Order: sequence, then C-alpha cells, then structure tokens
Amino acid sequence: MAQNQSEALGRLREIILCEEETRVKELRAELRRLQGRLDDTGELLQKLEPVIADTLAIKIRNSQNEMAEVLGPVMGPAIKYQIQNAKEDMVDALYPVIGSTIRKSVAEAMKELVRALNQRIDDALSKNRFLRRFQSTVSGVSETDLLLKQSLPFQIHQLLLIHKETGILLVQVSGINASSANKDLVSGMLTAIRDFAQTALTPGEGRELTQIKYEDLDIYLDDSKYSTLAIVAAGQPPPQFTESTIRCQQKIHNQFYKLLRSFSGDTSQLSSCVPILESLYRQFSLPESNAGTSASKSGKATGIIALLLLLLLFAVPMVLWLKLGETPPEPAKINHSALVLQIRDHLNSTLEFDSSNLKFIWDDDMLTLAGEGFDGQQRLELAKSVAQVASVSVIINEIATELQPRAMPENVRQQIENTVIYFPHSVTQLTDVASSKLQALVPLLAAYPKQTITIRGHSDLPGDAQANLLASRKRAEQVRTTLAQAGVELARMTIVASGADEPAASNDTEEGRGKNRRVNFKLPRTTSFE
Amino acid sequence: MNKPAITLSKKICMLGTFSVGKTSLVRRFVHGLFDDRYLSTIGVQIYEKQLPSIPGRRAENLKLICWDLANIEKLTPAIKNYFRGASAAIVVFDLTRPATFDVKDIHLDAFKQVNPLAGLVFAGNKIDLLPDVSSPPSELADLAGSHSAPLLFTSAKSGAGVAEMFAALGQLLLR
Repeated sequence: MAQNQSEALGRLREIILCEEETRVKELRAELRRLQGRLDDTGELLQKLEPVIADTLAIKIRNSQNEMAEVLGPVMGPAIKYQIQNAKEDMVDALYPVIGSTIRKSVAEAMKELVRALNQRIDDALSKNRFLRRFQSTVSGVSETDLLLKQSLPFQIHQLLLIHKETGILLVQVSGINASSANKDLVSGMLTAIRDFAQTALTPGEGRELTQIKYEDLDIYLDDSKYSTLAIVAAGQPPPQFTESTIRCQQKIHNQFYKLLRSFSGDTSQLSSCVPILESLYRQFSLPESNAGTSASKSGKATGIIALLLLLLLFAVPMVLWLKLGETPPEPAKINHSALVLQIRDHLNSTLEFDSSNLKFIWDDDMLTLAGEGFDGQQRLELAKSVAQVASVSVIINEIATELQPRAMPENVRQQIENTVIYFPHSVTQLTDVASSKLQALVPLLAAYPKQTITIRGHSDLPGDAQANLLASRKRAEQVRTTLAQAGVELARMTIVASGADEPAASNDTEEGRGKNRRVNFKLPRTTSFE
Repeated sequence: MNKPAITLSKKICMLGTFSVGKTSLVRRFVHGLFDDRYLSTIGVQIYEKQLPSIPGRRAENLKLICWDLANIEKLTPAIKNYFRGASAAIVVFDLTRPATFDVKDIHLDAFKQVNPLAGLVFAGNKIDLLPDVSSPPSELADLAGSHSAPLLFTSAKSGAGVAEMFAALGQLLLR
C-alpha cells in the first residue's frame, strides 16, 4: 500500500516539476558558460573595451579633476614601465613634441653663436683684432681659439677657496650675479659631497670628484694639498681653463702653504689670496659689453700708440709671470726614518738634557717638532740643533714648554679635592668662611686651565628626599656661580647633586649633620687617546 | 687704534646615537637651515651659526660650522672623513635612555684619533622628560669627567640649556 503511494507521488512530482528541472539544468549550463567567459580575460577585455572607453570618456568630460586625482599617482610608474618595455614606441610617440623642443633649443643656441661670431668678425678690422693677434702671439693660443673663447659665453660666476680638511670657506670671489646662498654652507656641503663620493663610489681608488653639473652650471673642483678651489661657471670652458686653474692653485699653495697647513679658523689671514683668485676670475669673465666701441675716428693713431704702450707694459710682467708660473722642481724624496736617527744621534751628542720626548711629524719636506717636558731654553736649543742636521726646507717648532697648559700635579689635585665647603642648616648661600675657601681655589684652577672639575653638592638628613636633592643642587650651583664670577670658565665645571645619599658623617648628631651639608670637588683625570 | 675683531671659523661635529636629539638641538640653536634632504642623502647636514661675541678674548667672534652626522653607529670611511678637521664635538645623550650613554656606539675614540686635540662638550638632552630635573644620571657626569668634558643638560624641546651648551663650546674653542 505504502509502496504504491510512494510511486504515485514520484510520478506526480515528475509531471509537476519536469519543466522546472529542465529549466534548472539549462540555467546551470548557461551559468557554466558565463563563468567560462568571465575566466577568459581576453574575451572579457574585448567585450568591455568599448564600454570602458565610453565610460572613461564620459567621466573625463564630466569630472576632469577627479579623474586626474585618481590617475595621477599611476602615471609616473606607467610611463617608467612603458619606457623600460617599449622604449622605441615611447620615443616615436614623443618625438613630435620633444624633437621640436630640442630643435628649437639648438636653433636658438646656434643663432646666438652665429650672432656672436658675426659680431666678432665684424670687429675683425677693429683694434680688437690687433689686440687679439698680440694676445695670440704672446700666449701661444691660436687666434681662432681666442675668437671662439670670445664667442662662446663661458663665464666664471664664483670662485670659492675652501680649506680641504675642514671644509671651511677661506676666500670667495664672485660677480654681481652670483647666488646669495650662504657660502659657508656651500663650501661645507661641497666638501661633504666630495668626501662622500670619494669613499662611497670609488673606495680606495684615490679618485677625486672634479666636476658637478647643475643644469647650465658646472662646479669644477680642483684639489691641492691643503685647499680645494671650487669654480662655479657656465658655458664650454676654453682649452687653457684647466691649466689656468692649476696654475692658480699652485700660486696659492706656494705663497700660503704655511698658513693653510696651520689653519686655525682665522680666514682673515688668507685675504691676500683674493688678488690671485680675482685674476683667474677676470681671465674668464665676459668682457664689458661693447666696451671701447665708441672710440673716436682719430682712434687709429691712438690705438697704435696704445698698442705700443701695451706691448711695453705687458712684455716685462709677462716674462716675470712666465718665470713665476713655472712649476717648481720636485724636491728630492727624504728618507724620514734615516734622518730622524741621524737627528737623534746629533741631539744626544750635543745636548746636555734628555731629548727623548721630542717627536717628529713629517709632511713631505716640512718637519714639525713636538713634545712636552722642556723649558723655553731647551725648546730653542732643540730646534737649533735639529736645524743643524735636518736638510729640510721648513721646520716648525711646536714643542710645548712649561708656559703652555700642563697636567695638574698630584699635590694641587689633592689640595682642591680636600677642600670642603660647609653650609649651615637650611642654607644654600655661602658663608664668609666658605667664600674665602673658594677664593683660595681660584688661582689653583687658573694655573691649570685644561683641568675640568666636578662640583658635588650634598645635604643632611632628615628631611624630604626631594627637598634634600634640591638643596644639594642649589649648594653646588652656588659654588659654581661663585667660581665662574671669579674667572673659572663655566665650561670646565660640572655639577652633580647627591642629596643625602653620600653622607660624610653620621646624621644622628648635629655635628655630623653639619659635616654632611657640604660641597666637595672631584678632578677627573684626562683620558688619553693618543 | 683698536684692532679689528677677528672671526674664527671652527668646524664642530654633532655626535650621538639615533634619536638622541642631535639635529633638534642644533636646529634649536641655529635658525637658518639648509635643507633636510642632504642629511638622508649623504649622511651629513651642515649648519652655520655665529656665536655672540666674547669681549676680551683673542677672537671676539666665533663662527661655528656644525656638521650634523647621521647613521654614526656604522663607522664608514665617509663618516671618518666627515670627522676630519673638527675642532670640537658635541656628544649628545638621551637622558631617558641610558643605553645611549655608551660612547663606543658613536665611535668617540675614532673621532679623537682623527682629531686628537679636539674639545668635547657632553649634552644630556631631553631633560624635560625626566621626572626629576634636579637629579640627572650620575654615571653621565662620571663619563663626562673621564673625558674631561663639561656636561650640560639640555632640552631641544623647551630650549633649556641649549644656548648655555653652545656658550660652553665657544669658551672651549677659544681657550
């Protein structure tokens, strides 16, 4: 019975749902087909392309700013990617724009060059030609080069002479159009960049950064032993530029090497370098515009006379200049260690005091004498004796004598460290006795200006720890202020507040507490790094 | 006739580990800035500041050229080059981080090897963050003492002690 009912229900369901089941099957097949199409990126893009293009076109038309904001961040990477992967396509696409821009720039530059050349050629029969010929004959530079130099607008804007080691600006020469940037910072940064390039780009190869390009400006860096000459210029440098720069550096080195070597920050000592730099600056600065073009008709005779005078005026200095400009002969190399042995033998046999503390510092053919523990007379005798045997061009005597700052002897140190300044209860001001004690320390501290001092303030118990700490600090500060007013440099003194943590006596008695309300001194010993 | 005042230019280096406040201190003191970008590019930023004149001194004017060095923890050849020619260094510590008190991390010995005669000033910075400003860490005082360097407490944030620190440096340089 039950089985018959079940078969009947099955048939009934087939009759009722047959159509729906077929439809479901069809829909499933359709869904799979659509899924397949969605997975096929190529087909999907093909289908969406016209729609996207239209949508974007409408969006761009209606809200340009919004689109720019959205697309902006991806434009750079997109262009970079395109350049990497389809360089030729990019070049072809951009050529109509960039090509014409470059053509225009080149055309402008050529036009300017032609204009300058024409002007010079127009002047060919003027007195400038005679002058140019004269310059050509004297300097050995062809007339064509001179003409080209006058045509191309190479110009030095600024010259900075920089101390090579510190990067400190020594001297600067600049035209009226030069940048107003802080030259001290510029010289420091140039030094840092040079150092960075030397160590980061070519470590150990001894290469030097010689040129930095910045748009139409070039910064030429020329190093000598103690200084760097930085030349900010625009245009194509003429052939003699490098030679002139080296010659300028040589002149500065030859005349100022002592000052440069011992440079201690006083740039005014090097102001005499200015004329040398100005000379280089003038050599490569543009001539005054059309100067002399208003010469009178009777200028021919005047010109010839002027030319003769010029010949006389230039001939003598030129000979001198050529002589002075010659590179000095290379000095023979000195065997430093052999010479030091020789000097030591000589000193031991001629001097009656121990000279073993004497140190020798070599810098090529320059010898610096250093060392401590000699008096003034011994200092002179040492230098004299060394000079008798040392075949070097320069001896610098930097031997420290007793007049120079020296380490504090132990007995003086003990005297200061044993001094204790006491304070009455709840008082942070100095008593008369305490002031007298402090005044007694002043000459001792003044005699040893390199010695630093730690001033330690203390307080007694009982009392709030915070208040005790504050009281101890105020006492130390009071002592420091008094010493500073008496002439002890603030920079030498450090204060430490100890509160009641370091008692000198028991806090149980009034006498003990009186000993604890105090300031004492510590004199650190110098740490040697040498 | 009075002699014209001499201006001495001195290079100094700012030393200290990461985030102790070197740049903040020097920026607090020097108002004219160059450009921060240089610091991250080549590891150095340079500031210039003329100190107030000190009458009666050998040189009345002192121009400080401050080299603020970054990433000093790694002693590269470039860092060694940057040390060259310095007359002094300001060694900056973060008072709230005792780990910054280790001078090995900032290669103070290398600095002194390059510049044996250079002076040192120790700066305990961020004193504004200490709960009790009257009790700075005593180990820092001992450290300063062992290097014969004055120790001053500063706050680049509030400006406390900054001018005094540079004044102490000035005295040191003109000594």
